[in-house]
Amino acid sequence: MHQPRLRRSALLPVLLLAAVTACSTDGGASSAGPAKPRSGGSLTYAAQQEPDCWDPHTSAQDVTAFVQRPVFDSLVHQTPDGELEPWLAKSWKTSEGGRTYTFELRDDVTFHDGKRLDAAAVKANFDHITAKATRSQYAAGLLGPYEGTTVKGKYEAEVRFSRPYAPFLQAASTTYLGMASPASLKAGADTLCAGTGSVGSGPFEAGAYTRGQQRGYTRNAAYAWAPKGAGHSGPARLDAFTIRFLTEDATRVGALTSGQVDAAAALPANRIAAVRRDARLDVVTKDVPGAVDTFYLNTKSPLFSDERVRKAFQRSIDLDALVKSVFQGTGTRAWSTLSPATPHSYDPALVNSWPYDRALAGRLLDRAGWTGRDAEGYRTKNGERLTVTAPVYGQASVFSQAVQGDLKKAGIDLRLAASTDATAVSAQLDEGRYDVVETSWARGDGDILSSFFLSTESSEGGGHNFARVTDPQVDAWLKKAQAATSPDERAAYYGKVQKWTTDHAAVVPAYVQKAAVGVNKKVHGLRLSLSAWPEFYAAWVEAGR
Amino acid sequence: MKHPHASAVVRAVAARAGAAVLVVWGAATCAFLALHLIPGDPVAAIVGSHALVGAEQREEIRHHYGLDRSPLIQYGAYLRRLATGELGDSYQVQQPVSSLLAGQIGPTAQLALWSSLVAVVLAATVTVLTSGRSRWPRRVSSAVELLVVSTPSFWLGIMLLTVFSFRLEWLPVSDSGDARSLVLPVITLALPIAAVLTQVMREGLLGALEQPFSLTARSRGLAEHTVRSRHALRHAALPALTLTGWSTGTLLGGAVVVENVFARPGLGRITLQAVSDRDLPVVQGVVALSAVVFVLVGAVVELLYVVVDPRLRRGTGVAAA
Repeated sequence: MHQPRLRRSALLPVLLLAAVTACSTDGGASSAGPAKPRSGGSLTYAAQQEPDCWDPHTSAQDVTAFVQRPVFDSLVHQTPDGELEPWLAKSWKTSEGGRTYTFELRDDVTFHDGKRLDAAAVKANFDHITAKATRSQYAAGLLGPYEGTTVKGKYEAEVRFSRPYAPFLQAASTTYLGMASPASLKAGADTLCAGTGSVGSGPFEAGAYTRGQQRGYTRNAAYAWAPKGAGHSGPARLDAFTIRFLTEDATRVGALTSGQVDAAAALPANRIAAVRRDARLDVVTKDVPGAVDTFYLNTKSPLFSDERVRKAFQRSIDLDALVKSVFQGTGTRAWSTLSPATPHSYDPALVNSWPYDRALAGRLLDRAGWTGRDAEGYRTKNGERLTVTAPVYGQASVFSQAVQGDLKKAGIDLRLAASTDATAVSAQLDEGRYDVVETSWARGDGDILSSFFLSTESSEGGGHNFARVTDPQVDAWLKKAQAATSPDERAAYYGKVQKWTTDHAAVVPAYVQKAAVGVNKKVHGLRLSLSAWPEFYAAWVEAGR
Repeated sequence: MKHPHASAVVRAVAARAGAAVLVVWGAATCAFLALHLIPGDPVAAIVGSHALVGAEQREEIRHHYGLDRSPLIQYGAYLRRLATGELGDSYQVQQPVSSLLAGQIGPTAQLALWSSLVAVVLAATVTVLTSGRSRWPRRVSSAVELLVVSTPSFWLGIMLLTVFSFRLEWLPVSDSGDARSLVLPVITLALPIAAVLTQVMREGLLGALEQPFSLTARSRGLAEHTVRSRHALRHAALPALTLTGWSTGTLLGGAVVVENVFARPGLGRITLQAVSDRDLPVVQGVVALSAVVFVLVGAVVELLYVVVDPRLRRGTGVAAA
């Protein structure tokens, strides 16, 4: 699942940070009280964002994946540690060098409408996702080079790709490729998007939904197919729960501290300490996996086509100090484009490989000809100021402004071109009229790098190659990583890409986001998924509530 | 021919309806132009920059929403749909805009009507109470009014929530269907309107109290409060009525803030989301709906003039007033 970089609006890291739901330092349960888990009761959770469209097969919003996770199960399960294990599929094998996946399905799974999950249902879902009429904004992309599904037996489905595609298993574990009852898929885009026609096989059934307010969930009493790593088995412990959409930070935090909700997402950095001090509350945090908040330097822009200038930019920012002061412990300084929380992909060798070094930056700029100084202290060349343009949707974040201040000390003018016009910003990105783009994208798989560095993943084509990297070697590594069958082999290729991009200063990874969820201590077992979203399945509340 | 005024009435109604159509058409056209003159590809707004959408899929989306046709044809189709009350499909929510708005108009209308009512009652009460001979109640009231008017409603809402919901825990932060959940949003919206209304009404009231008819009333032995509330207030009511009509129309703007702070469903919430998502059909639908509401409120205000001012009930004599 990628973080809420839903629209270009997501260019703003603040937005992202806010949209992130939760994360835990320990990645585990919210509160491990001495009390015994009990069945029954309900809880209310305050989300920071409401999905536009509730159909995970269509929507690219990660909040959609979150709110629909309790309703839709997947073939494969990804544990909070990032391991892949059986779920609706008992087992799978790959053949033809990773082009074909054969799934053995469980034979005891029923959808909320009473229909049985079988191979035909799997085919119906994947075919529905890739159908043109579905106008999928994300799920179809996750299926990559999908060719088709063949029903081999009642409970045996074969999924074929036109080329080896290793990221498929992780993709199959996301809500975007979640299994809906085939009958419900015929309800039409508007019903599916409205969230009123959500029929899955999950531990909770979709309940009443009031747009702009809340959605209810009720326990699926027949649930008996939880994955091993779910932390519980059988029907969910909660009778019901409600997600309320409290978009204002002050409202959401106030609702939590006054006990009107039992848990609240996206605690603002400056409120976390206060929430922690509250004896009735806990804060659960977790690093978000995927592509961290990173400055992508446009390697094709007139200014940044000179690698020395890119390197100077990279070494001029004292990220350790900035991240500490801006995020007050809710983010850590990054060394790679990938978050350390990304399973089997992160390269720890990069740590300390490009430390803050303003003297080096100065020498690089001198060599690149930026030797003059103007009245304000910025470097100049032929009378032109060293100005780096960054398109920003909405308002520049506090963090971006802090970076701007650091760069000024090095004589670099970071121009944060803020605009509230999403399409204008999109056009600027598509046409490459910028020097740097700051963005992030959460996903529990290293293949997120493909969407940022494959030469074919241009912005106008729907990709995120904001650094405009067009290197055959990088392409080859990423393709080989997609085709590789062993996690170690994939990690090695992703490691090469991470090293290449920082070595060539195509990127300045800035900080790893932490999701922070406030939880009332009466709630137990509300753990955070790999993508740092709360999971309600094993959660329970103390009696007398 | 029995009613000499009948044709005049028909003409007046026709002129009014014509003007109403013009207003709605103008607003809709402005919205269409504004949204289409903005540079950039609407398909980018539909899919969001971070969606994994290939070129073929983009073309499909472009075709589905008719964005591959010329602007003139799109405009024609838009007006045709508007005339039949059909507003197209939302880009993001993928539902007909009309049913989307219809589902959200209830909570907002409830909020707007209660807020207007509370504002008017509050303003009238404060006006009558503070327009006596003594100057200090007026001064205190004026200071409070100024404070309320200059307070952003976002902040006002958060303050009310902090005190009455988070600290005292008297009222819920958001709830469905419960009347208690209306109290704080209504107060947040009503206070600034009441403050402005009070200022206008007090001015009118004080003016009216200087008029000879007030002297007459007093000389007949009527109590001061009766003079103020029965006689003078009517005079103060006309400008206040115009203002109330205007403020009811602008309540949608207030609803954007209040609905988000108080996590209420409604048009304001939808509008904010639609604007930030660049969901053109929804934005256009909201604009058209607002224009219709403005026209309707204007008509109601005109009717109320006649109720408040008996002189307007006669066909003539208006000019004399």
